[in-house]
Amino acid sequence: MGRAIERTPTGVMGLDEIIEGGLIRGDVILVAGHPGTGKTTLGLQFIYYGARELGEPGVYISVTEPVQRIRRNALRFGWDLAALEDEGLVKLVDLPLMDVPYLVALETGQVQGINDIVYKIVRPLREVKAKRVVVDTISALLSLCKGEGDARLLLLRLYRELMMSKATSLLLAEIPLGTHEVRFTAQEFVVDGVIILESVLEGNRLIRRLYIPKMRGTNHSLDCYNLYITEEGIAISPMPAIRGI
Amino acid sequence: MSVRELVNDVTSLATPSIVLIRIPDEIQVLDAIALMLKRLVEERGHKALLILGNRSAGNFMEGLRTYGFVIERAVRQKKLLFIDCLTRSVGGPRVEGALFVSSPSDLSEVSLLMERGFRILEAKPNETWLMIDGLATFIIFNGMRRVLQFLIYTTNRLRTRRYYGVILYYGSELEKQLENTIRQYVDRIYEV
Repeated sequence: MGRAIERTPTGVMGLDEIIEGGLIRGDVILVAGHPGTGKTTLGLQFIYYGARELGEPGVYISVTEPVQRIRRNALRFGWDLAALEDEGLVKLVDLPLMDVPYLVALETGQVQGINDIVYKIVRPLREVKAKRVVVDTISALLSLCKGEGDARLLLLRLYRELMMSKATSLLLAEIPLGTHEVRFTAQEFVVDGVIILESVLEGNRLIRRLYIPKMRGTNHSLDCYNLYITEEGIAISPMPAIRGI
Repeated sequence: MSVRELVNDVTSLATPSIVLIRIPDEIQVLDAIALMLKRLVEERGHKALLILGNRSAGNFMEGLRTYGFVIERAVRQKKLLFIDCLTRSVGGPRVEGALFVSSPSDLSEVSLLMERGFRILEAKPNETWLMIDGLATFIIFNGMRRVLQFLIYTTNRLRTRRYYGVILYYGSELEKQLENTIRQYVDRIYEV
């Protein structure tokens, strides 16, 4: 009998059950969603669960939101990230790429664009020997690129570095409200899996939903599931949703 | 069949089964559930999760207390839990021993809380019961097709885990088509 594929449970109730127990260890997964659908919460839950329940070091890279605010928001779910940081199991990284000085440096060629961005992400991974990584958001990183060519190059470099790190990685991406497309569709082709979070109006209620269009090496469910942000974090309804009803 | 005979029969089922109970009025529903819970939870130490669509958990608990059922003890011992589908949507007070669904129109959330409820109860095969009361409410908010999908999903989930299932409904609340369809998914049908 061959060796079983090693899986990384996400810790999200209902999700692991529809992806054969978890993400394939070392894979890079794109989590793309509308605003307010729980991307950041899902990312934090992934890091917190790994560190707290499995002792797996995790790095959370925040491009747009200060890490103090991330720590504070996580407490709402009872996730004490600061305590895990003290234990060396979690590293929250502020990546101030959207700051004006950095943007100026980028524009004037004082920093080497793509190389510099990738280096800033990969360095903390090595420091803690991360087994889990979240980049929040890849959309913000790509917005620094001058064109689609640069964006593809950044994605490919990042994918390669994350893959070589052997950490299981989530790249969070924004889908603008009212649309169903991630800005650079190339992301979907580069990564190993794609999880989509969307918000839709059903009658007079806004419903959050999750579906998985792609997950290499995994016999995943093709159904669409309602997603809830509960007091314990993100949870996926075990019963598939019916679209349009 | 009388309520007492029904309770004797249902609580004597040897293997985990799904039963559909047609009952003439709300008072007898409370009668049947209270007697079943006394026997299953208090006497045998089984676990029960009740999904309530017709009334709030607080109101249902008050009714149960009139039968001498000590709810607080059963909740504390992780033997009894309610899923209340009304309180949050009408803004009523929350009580201990219940999980609250945002709206009876969200059967996906009911299924999610069902999983959470079984986890809280530390549910085990052959000694866990799911009781559903209030199909009429669910039909009004969701339509027949969605309620059927929920029931089919739920009954299959119960079978794979070897839990018992009890679906109660009033004589007049089910449309014939729904009743005929549900009948295909249950092991026994009782009429009081």
